[in-house]
Amino acid sequence: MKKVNYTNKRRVLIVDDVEVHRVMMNTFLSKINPFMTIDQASSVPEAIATLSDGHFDAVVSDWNLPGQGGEVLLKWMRARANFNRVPFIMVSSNTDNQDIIHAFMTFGVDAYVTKPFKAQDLYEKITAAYDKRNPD
Amino acid sequence: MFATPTSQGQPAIIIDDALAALEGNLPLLKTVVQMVIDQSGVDLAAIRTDAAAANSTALAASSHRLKGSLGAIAAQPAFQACSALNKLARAGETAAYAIALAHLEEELGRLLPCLQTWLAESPTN
Repeated sequence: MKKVNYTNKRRVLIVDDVEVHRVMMNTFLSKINPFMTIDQASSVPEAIATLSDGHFDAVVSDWNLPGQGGEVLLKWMRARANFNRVPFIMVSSNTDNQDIIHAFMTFGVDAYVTKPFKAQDLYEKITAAYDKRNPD
Repeated sequence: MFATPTSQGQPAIIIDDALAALEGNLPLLKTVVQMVIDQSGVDLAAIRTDAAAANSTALAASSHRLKGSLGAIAAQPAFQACSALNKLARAGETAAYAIALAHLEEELGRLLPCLQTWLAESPTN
């Protein structure tokens, strides 16, 4: 099992319409890895605008965003060469395994966490998804 | 343990549960509680407008935001009330909005004073 890196300088985009959730994830992830750069977006259009503005190593997104859901963002990413291989970590409050399996099979989600989740678990899934997409 | 009084048998919030939900991070809990206090009025105003207009799509979004904030601090009674309203909005059951909104207002009416009291009395460090 690969050792988890706590000092990598990855840049991650967090997408959630609930500001409290964004602040929580930002605080948790920054505490685990202070070298991580974290950007935030509250909607799919805002996420697309932020992604278009630079390089990102992973996207952590709420799946059940009001309006355009996480699948819209993921489809947009997978349709573009520069984001096609960026890991997408799905955050869901839905514990229905069928929905999660559907998201994996249909949309190419790299990993998922269901709320409430442990910060360490989210961090490890981000790094594992990145490492899988970017083997040494 | 800081638990708030309730007339319905269930405390509006159990701070130990809220702290556990934030992995024991007290400064973060204070930040989040202040955000909930500041934002819930804005969210509730939007919810009232959306419910009055029977705008189910907008109500689903506004109630989703508030539900997420309440869930983050494990404020179960208000969270459940907001979840019920969110579920109705997603189903487009407009006839039930008024009753569900009244329940949410009642629960927020219990929760917010408790949060303000806790924030005022909580240790500075």
